[in-house]
Amino acid sequence: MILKSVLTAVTTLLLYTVLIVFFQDSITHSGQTTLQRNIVKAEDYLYEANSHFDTVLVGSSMSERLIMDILPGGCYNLAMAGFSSLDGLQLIKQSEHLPRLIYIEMNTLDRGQTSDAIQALGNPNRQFLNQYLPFLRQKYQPVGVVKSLLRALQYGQVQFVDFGAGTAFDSSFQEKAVQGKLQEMDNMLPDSVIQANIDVAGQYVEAFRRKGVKVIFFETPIDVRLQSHRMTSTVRRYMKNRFPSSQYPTVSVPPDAYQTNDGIHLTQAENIRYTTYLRQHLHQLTTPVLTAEVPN
Amino acid sequence: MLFTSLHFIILALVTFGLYYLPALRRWQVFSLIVASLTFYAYNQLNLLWLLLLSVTINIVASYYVIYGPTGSQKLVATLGVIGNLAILCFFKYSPLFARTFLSIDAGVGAWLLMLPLPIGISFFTFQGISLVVDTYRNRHVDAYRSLIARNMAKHAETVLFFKAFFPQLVSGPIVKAHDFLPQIKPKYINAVRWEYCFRTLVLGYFLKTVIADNLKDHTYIVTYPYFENLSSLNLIVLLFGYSMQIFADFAGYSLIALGLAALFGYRFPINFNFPYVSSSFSDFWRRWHISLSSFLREYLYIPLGGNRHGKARTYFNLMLTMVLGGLWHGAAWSYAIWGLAHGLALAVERFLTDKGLFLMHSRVARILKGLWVFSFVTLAWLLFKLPNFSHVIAYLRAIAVNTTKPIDSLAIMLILMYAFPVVAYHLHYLLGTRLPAVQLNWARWDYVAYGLLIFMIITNSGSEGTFIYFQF
Repeated sequence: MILKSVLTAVTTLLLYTVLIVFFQDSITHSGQTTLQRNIVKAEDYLYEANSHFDTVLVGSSMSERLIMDILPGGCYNLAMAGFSSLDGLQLIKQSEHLPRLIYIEMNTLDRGQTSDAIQALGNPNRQFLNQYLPFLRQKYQPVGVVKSLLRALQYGQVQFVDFGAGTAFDSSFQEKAVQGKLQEMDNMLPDSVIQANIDVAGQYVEAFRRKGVKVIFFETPIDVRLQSHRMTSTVRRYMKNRFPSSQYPTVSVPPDAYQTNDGIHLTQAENIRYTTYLRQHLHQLTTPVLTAEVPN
Repeated sequence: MLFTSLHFIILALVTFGLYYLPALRRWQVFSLIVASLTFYAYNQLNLLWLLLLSVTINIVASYYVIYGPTGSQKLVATLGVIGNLAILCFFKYSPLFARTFLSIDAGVGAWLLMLPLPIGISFFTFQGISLVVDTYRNRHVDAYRSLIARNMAKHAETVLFFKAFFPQLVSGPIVKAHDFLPQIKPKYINAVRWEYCFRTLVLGYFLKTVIADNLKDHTYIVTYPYFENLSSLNLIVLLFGYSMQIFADFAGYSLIALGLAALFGYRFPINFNFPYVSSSFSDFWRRWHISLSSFLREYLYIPLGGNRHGKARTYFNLMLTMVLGGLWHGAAWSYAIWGLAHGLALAVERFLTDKGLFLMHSRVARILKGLWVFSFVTLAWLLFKLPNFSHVIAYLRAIAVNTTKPIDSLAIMLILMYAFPVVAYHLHYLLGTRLPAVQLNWARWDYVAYGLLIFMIITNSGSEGTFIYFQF
């Protein structure tokens, strides 16, 4: 019975591999949860996209929702919900080709590296296995593949979906979420931890800059009460000390207020407004970079 | 160390290899102790001393119950039980005590709040109590007395092994001394029940890694206030998904524990017997976390008087047992409320049975009662997911109010897809009990099912997550 079961499993794996190879172009949006979508995005970047993009954006869910069509140049959005910018930076470090320009969301740099999953992707054995045994990739999980096909049936081949787009603004929910965030922020990380996490970011940034990669920081707007919280101010102060804008190009947070769904995620209309603002400021800072030579 | 981690698999394989070497046969128990302490220390090296302290209390108490001065047995056993409970109460319930009765901003309250929670403390404490109580109860039974070695070093080795054996160390099943101690003897590889091990391990890993770990990433949204943005139907399906997740998580873990123990020649009692087919609350508790419910019955409900002192006292004993059983799960009042809810359900059910009310035995009535029990149990799991009681109320209110919010059908479909194997697992059992011939025919194709489970474990495992019951 044991042998027959194992043989059944091996046969199914072989058949499934053929299926994946045959239909791989049709399998999109197969991530079923936030975490999985992150891993799929990370694997896609690591195994496919890193050699095709000169500009990469790293950050959290706040940047994940930016409207990429508005931003200048072909930019790969490596921002991942629930993760921090450091996870994205680590992923870039693990990839074969470096971009010429990296946009780094500052809001979450104090969090430190949040995901062991990203670290695990850098394991050479895992990279080898994932490249030659596609059924091991998150993208090709059978339930995800079924979901991808059903989604295509439901929505057609949609290229971009904003998860907050269809949600009507709910002021009572927003208020509760902001109060929850304020409570969370009251239990802020010790200064030494914030400093240490920002130092890690500094190490990444310096390593990239030594290899000719330009880095631009930006900060997405959040609810004004969170924006003026002691924790946000502390993080911003540490950031300014470590990355003074005279040496590190930075797009500061816009001076006017923005509306959010839950205190930290902009509504769809505000997302468009902020991405437009970001585009204007990035344009001034990136023009020389995009005409420079590709680093080795 | 998680059963699903590569480090654990390496530890288990190395231990297994050494364990059955003929040259090392006399070191079998020792090798399992070393592996078990490594397993525990991997995550909580700084709390290994606590496990060893708990073991020491039980070594001394059980030894002196048998070999101590005549007349002191009861005192020694009582002190042994108190010692076990003191460790549990201090490390597990001090933060609850501090939050309820002290200021937590500074001083003793703040200090108590910072106490670490040793993994598996509830499980190894209950096993210790079982050892001391079983030894006291059977102190005049020769067959049991012979299990307590006269040589203190040998006895210490036995107790350390009983409490620390890694398959059950951190999340059970709670193995009772009178079941386990007689099994300690040399083991031979040709006595391993390979097919049993294979079936339990494959099914256990499937339930844990494919079902529970995936559902976990869907049900994380059951967090205040984020669930308030979801439609009523999504909220109901999420609750259903969480019910499936908690079963898959714990039953999966227990099956892995059973399979691992069997690889080393030990039999653990089954911990789950298709609980979601129960048609009464007493039936549910005979099928869910059986090792805990039987422990509570043997070591708490019956010593409290059980059903021997009249009906009112029986209802009270039922409720008290369940409230304490609820608190065993976690140091928060929501767990006590969860226990109280189950205690009330058991007491009311008992009252109705005593009065001869609602004794419906038709098939339709059994199905309706089964649905009622399942709905109640599932609703009560909300207290596990949302320890703040006001958030539970908010969730229930959202179910009632959010009827016009847009339905996320894709999310519903994914949760139902992952829940389906758990439903099928229970239906397969029901079908087998009602139509044995059908089950016999299916049995011929078992290998296809197990082959597909292996395929799903390899291709569709969720992100690694700790077992829900680790926190207990």
